[in-house]
Amino acid sequence: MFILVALVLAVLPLILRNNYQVSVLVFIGIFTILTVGLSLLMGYAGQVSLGHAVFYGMGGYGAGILVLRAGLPAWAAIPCAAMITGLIAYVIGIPLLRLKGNYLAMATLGLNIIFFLIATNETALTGGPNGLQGYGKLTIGPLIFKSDRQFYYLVWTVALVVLALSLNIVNSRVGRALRAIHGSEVAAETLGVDTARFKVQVLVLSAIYASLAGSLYAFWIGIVSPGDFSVNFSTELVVMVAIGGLASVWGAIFGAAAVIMLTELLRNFLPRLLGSTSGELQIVTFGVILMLIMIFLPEGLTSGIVNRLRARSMRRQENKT
Amino acid sequence: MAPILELRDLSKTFGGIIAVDDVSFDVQPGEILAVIGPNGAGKTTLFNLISGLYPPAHGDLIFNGRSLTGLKPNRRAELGLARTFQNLHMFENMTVLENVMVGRQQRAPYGLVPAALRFPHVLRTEKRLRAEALTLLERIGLAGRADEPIGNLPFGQQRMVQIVRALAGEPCLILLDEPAAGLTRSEIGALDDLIRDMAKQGITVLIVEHDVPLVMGLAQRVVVLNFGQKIADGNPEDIQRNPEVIAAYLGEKRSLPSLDENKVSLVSENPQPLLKVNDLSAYYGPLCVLDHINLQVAQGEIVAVIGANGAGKTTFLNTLVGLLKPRTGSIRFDDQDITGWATETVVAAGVSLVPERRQIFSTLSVRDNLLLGAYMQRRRSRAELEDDLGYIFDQFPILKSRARQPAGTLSGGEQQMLAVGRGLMSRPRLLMVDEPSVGLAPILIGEIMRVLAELREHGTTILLNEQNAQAALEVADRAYVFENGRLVLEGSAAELCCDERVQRVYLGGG
Repeated sequence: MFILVALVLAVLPLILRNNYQVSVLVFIGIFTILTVGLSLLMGYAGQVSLGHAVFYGMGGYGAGILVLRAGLPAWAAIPCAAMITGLIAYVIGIPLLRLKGNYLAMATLGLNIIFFLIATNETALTGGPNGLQGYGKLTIGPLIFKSDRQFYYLVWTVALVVLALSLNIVNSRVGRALRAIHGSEVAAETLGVDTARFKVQVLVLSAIYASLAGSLYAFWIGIVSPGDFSVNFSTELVVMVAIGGLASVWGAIFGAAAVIMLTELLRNFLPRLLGSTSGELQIVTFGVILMLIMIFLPEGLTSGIVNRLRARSMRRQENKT
Repeated sequence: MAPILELRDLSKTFGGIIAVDDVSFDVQPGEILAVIGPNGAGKTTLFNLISGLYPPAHGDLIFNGRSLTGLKPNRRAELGLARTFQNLHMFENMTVLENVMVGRQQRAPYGLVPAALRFPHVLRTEKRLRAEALTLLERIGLAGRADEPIGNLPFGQQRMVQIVRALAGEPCLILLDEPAAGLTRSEIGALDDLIRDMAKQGITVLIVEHDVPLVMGLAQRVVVLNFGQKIADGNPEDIQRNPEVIAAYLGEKRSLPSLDENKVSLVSENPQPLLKVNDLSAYYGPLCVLDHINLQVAQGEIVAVIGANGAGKTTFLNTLVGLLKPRTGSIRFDDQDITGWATETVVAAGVSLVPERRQIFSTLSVRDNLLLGAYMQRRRSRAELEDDLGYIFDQFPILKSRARQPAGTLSGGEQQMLAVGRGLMSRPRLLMVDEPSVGLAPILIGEIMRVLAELREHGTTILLNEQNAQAALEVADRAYVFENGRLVLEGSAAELCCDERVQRVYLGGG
């Protein structure tokens, strides 16, 4: 499965002639890095985060600040920003992850609001409401990343590495420990699972993923502003993970792809269909489709469809016998 | 031999309530030690203290010679202390095998980075873990269902998987919290075998169980808790004869002589039955929880249903009010067949249930709690409601003085009064009270029973579920004794009061 997906992704830009389509795929790649991490944290370990945009923003702003204010080369700024983000996640995570359920959700939401305020008001560091720009060209050794196609390969390489690491984790002792925390934290503890440690670990890992995604986004677009990292963005990520099917790494990719493509489709087709260009209509239609998916496929798109196909083939076999 | 676990003056308080009070005892290596006690005695709290889910108020735990103070539950598990839970706590999002593998994984430590990069030893360890977990499942005959989601298994098998999951970490001491709760007779047999097997392997077993006859056959030593205090410690035979233990389970003898004359007269005036239960059976899935029960309550009587925790008393009341559908039999109330009626219809017909553990709305005021009791009577006028409130306040003067207070600030005894008062607000013809004495001190139990006797004098018919047999028999006219969902004894309160067989139902033995 993994190799097949990697091959398809490698060939895809050669088939697509349209730059717009490639840029949509770059977006999907960036969101994949984010949703895979959030799926580990939320779907597997059961720790709801409504503030994941914070770590994404730390990557976006962090890389820029390191380049512009500290003079680091771009290729070094990205991993440095990721490490700093991981460290911050570790320090925040220790007190934060003592909270459970709704309280954790509220606290992460609060974190996102604080981040938004800092990004807006610390003008000297972040450029304030106008945003931070002047990222320059991203070069790694002899490689220069400038066009959408070049970014496509960079982003998806990172995404596939993130995907491979995450799949390995999920199918291991650590993945079982995370799911055990989700299933019953008390039982997990009494069976010797160090729940506090695993929860912080998975938060740090998903924060590092998010930071990488944020840095890549910043270098690709060339400017970041506070609005890119709002609470809205965090909830959108949660929606993607839920659509994909919470506890599924593959689902995280399909969730990201489904939501982004749906948004793009609605943006292109709805005005043609109805002759209006009003944005509200897109949002309403998008909402209705999301509701329908959650009503009819509550396990998410991937597991929902897989389960349904499996049930159908089983019924067919029963009919034969 | 040095004890494997020593409890030294262990205490735990919740708010002002002392749940575990200076408990000390030793657990010897290789023994099966049972901790018993009536509902609310602090048994599960004691287990939570030992496994580290709660910090103690004071006191110490010595496990294999080292103090456990300050160690988190997972560190205690690594030292060889395992436990199970009464309400399963299975990992519902995993297969049967994965559940067991989680229990085993402290024996295969590797971290996040090796897992993410899939080092060669990770794959070898995973393979070994799978094989070991499968061997454990073979022991309880479930290897064939290893890859099914845990939720596919029936309750009894999940219970066995839960025990195996705890054994997977190779503990030297295992705490079993109510392992027999909800199991069928044959499943209890398999459980009995598994526990004996564990003990034979040298694992020390500490077991909390409300099915006292079961543990009396299994345990070498029994510790009895009551109101958080250790009241007895000895071999099963001595415990069964210990007067303090008998008093803890059956209640202490008190006398309310002033009430005795009224009992007979009220019943004889109204001989027709208000409630008539015929051949009633009910099941939880395949588990028979009520087995062909026949019972009657006459107008003006107090009838008690007594029996140990888990005998089916609460299930019986729930079936009467339609919360559980009966499989056989009929319920007649006031010459109407109410079998299978919805709960609100039964309540509208004049039955009121005061549930176990009060179930008051703790954030609402005392007055609002009472008014909610009249919720079904929407057509009643404001003046009538005030009349009813007045009647309740006359009966329970303490509630009147606390009318504006949030109900959560009342003491346990006052909350029970409130629950009874709320039950009376619907002006029931039959008041059913479920376990009013649970968690109350003896003096308060006496107070509650006095109130029930007074209500009966005002013409309320009462069906009283009570674990505390002595207290119930003092106010009741007649009583029925339940054991494992069956009706095993019935008679007048006076007869049952001195019947030795009642004691056997609670504590087992000859």
